Amino acid sequence: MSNSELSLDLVYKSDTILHELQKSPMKLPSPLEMDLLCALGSREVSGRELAKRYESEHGKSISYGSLYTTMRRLKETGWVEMREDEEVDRRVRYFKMTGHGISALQSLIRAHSIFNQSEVVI
Amino acid sequence: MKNDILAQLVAGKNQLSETLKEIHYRIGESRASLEACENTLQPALDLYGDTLDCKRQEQRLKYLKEKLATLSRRHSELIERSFNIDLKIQEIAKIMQESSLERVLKTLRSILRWSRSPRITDHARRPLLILSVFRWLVPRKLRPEIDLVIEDLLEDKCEMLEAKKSPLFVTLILWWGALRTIFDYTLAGCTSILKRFAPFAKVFFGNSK
Repeated sequence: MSNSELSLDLVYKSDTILHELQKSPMKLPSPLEMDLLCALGSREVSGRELAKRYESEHGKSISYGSLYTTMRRLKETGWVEMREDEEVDRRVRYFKMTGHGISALQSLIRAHSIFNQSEVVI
Repeated sequence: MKNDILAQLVAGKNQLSETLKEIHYRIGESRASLEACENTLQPALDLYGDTLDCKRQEQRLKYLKEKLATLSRRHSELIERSFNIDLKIQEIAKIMQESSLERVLKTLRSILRWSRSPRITDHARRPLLILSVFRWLVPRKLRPEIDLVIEDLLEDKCEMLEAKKSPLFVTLILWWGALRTIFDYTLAGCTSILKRFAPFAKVFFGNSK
């Protein structure tokens, strides 16, 4: 397969994945939403722990306001579910990715890698 | 000829029945071996479950220890503050005994100044006070989020104090966190207002071609 055919194939694949994502009732996530989804993983994590994880992964801090606002938006799109709990002396909000969120994240990562490949081929 | 064919059929039938018997026997053997495997694996599975429980218990214990340390530190802080207040009260009592009203007022003023000044035990008061005032400016459904932010900032403050950070550093970090939170919520509010007005903008400016 020549380079041009390969690049066309990759672009077609990424187009198909993005089309699938856009057919769902949700919009594509912003870079911050994507980073937070990646940092969240599949386990249940408290807001403070998520902020720390984001800081360690990206090397820059995120304010709690921005974190809770973004996670609320992700919850409204159905990618994340939240639960409130009382700890010893304070309230904590826990976040967990839904099955729909995990599958959407996988598709996004796949689309991203195909885009990168097509960039290299072109 | 007919007899030969019958004999062949009978022989085939016998062979088939033998094969079936053998198959049944093998199936029985396989089941027995499967049960034996299950029996062998059961203790291992039980042990794995016990190990998981132990790990969870260890994590819980670690968490409780940390909380206990935090509580004991807060307790010591409270004791320190109450001791300081006791000292001040004793001072006031002494001055009142001397029946000098002017000096009493002066001491009261110094106590007020002392309570407002940023002490080691009281760094989070001002930025968090600002946040709690800002809480009343956001919609009702977002207020619990501001409460959570305040709780998280308080926890950050405790961690920083445990790590022996300087009071100035702690105060600056808390101010930074509070102001960024206020900025984020203000920005989110402005964006939502703009989104609500976007359809009107489309009506007025959308068909300008």
